[in-house]
Amino acid sequence: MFKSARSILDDKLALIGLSTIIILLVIAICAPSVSPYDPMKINLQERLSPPSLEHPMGTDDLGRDYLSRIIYGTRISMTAAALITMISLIIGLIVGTASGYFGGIVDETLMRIVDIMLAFPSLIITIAIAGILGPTFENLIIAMTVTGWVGYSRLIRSSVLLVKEQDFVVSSKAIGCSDLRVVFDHIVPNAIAPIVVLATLDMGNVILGLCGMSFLGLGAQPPTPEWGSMLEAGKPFMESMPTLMIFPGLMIMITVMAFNFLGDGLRDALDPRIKAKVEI
Amino acid sequence: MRLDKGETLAIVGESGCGKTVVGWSILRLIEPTSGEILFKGLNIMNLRGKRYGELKRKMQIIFQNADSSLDPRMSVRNLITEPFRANRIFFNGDTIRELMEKVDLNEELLERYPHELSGGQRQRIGVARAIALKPELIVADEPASSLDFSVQAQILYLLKKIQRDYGVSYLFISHNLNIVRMMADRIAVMNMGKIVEMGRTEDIFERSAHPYTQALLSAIPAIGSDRRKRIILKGEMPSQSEIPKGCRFHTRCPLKKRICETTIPTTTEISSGHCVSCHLVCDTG
Repeated sequence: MFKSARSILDDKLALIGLSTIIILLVIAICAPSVSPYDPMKINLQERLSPPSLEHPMGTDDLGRDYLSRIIYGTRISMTAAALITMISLIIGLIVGTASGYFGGIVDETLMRIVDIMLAFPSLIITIAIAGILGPTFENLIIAMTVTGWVGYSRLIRSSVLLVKEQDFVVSSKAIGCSDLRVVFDHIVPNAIAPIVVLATLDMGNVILGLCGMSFLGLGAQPPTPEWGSMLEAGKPFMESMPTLMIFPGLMIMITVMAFNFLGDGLRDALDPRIKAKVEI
Repeated sequence: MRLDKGETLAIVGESGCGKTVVGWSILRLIEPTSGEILFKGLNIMNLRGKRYGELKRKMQIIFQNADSSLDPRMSVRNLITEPFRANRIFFNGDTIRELMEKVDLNEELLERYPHELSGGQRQRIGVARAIALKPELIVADEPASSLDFSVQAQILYLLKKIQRDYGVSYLFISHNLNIVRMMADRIAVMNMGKIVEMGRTEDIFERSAHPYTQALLSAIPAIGSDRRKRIILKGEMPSQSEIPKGCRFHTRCPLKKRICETTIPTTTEISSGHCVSCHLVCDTG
């Protein structure tokens, strides 16, 4: 573990990604104290003002301070992405472990359900579920979780299949461990490490998906300062006040890139073989 | 094949002949397709539930590869207390200390992880896990083959000591005949999943009757003038999916006769406790 921490610090891109994420997290956590104004406060006298010292990112069509809205947007995106990833991971872990460890009919049933889910493009299922449940941010989180766990369950299953065959699992069975103990003490801890890395890498995509759906009007609704819905709200003023679209877009880009850089770095650090191949 | 209390029976044979399968079947780590396994007079194949759990505790295994048979994410303390925790048996600091002492490991190692230990130390932990529940039978699946020479001797000595102290029986699986000679009371020679010759260690080493055993014995590297003439087997081992008719060894046997190709040899006891299945032996003796 120490070694992998070192090689992450050596990897410049990963380091940039990691520091960006840390800054974004701090901003998200301290949103009320770092934002200069109330993100919901409407001030029609100052509507659509360009960036200035008073309003570093300007104001939107209702005169709300754009910087404060961006800051609160960080909080919303980060929590939602973390929540979706975590719930997906937990469901994926349960399904994947059950299917990989027990095999047979359990495996068949679960994997066919997964196949059905994978047969449709996840975007379409997400739109459908979000549409049926109604366009709120909570429902979007549910919809994205429904599609999110599928990939994890596949990965965890294959990871479990590998671990299951190892001598130490046979050894603990010989010693008299129950299935439950074998799974929780040996299989899960050994199978999950690479998946957690993948989950980090995936956070960026989750944020991208969240913002995309909100932009389409299926997620956060207008008063909520969410990057995707801010983009959508700024669209009519694209020519007169392009900053309304540039800033949320930039934030999405920075966040997604930061997660991807860190994810790539983590993968290299935890599996040096891939990197070694590239260097040859 | 039988194994008495406090005895060591070695199974020898070349790679892939089914030695490990025998060991694993006894512990039901793999399910045998046919046949029966009796432990203390009970057929363990039919046992279920609590009785089986109790019986299973009396049989343990030491693995061939000490590196892979210990969970890399568990500390030594967790590894050696797992047998107690898994079977809900009371243990305390004294139990752990006693166990560590039995396998000559320093207590300081308790908080270490397997990758911080040497091969010998890891195998000792494997031994400690196996003896923790005071079993009556230990399947030792090439317990020393992944270790270097001096450490091998230590581990084998440790196993001998444990046998003396506890009266445990060993099913000793190995391909190293020198080690087998040192450890075993009796030897079973396996070829392609069948035992071709079985007898006391002296009988096998001094009076081996089956050509396969003779070939195996001739492959032991020896020092000095008592070097035997090597019998080199021709051809490859037949694949498990197309087992030869008749004697399973006939494709490679240097002393093959016509009958070997068609008829499965019966097992004959040529002297007390020394059994051979080979046509050559049936005819002459």
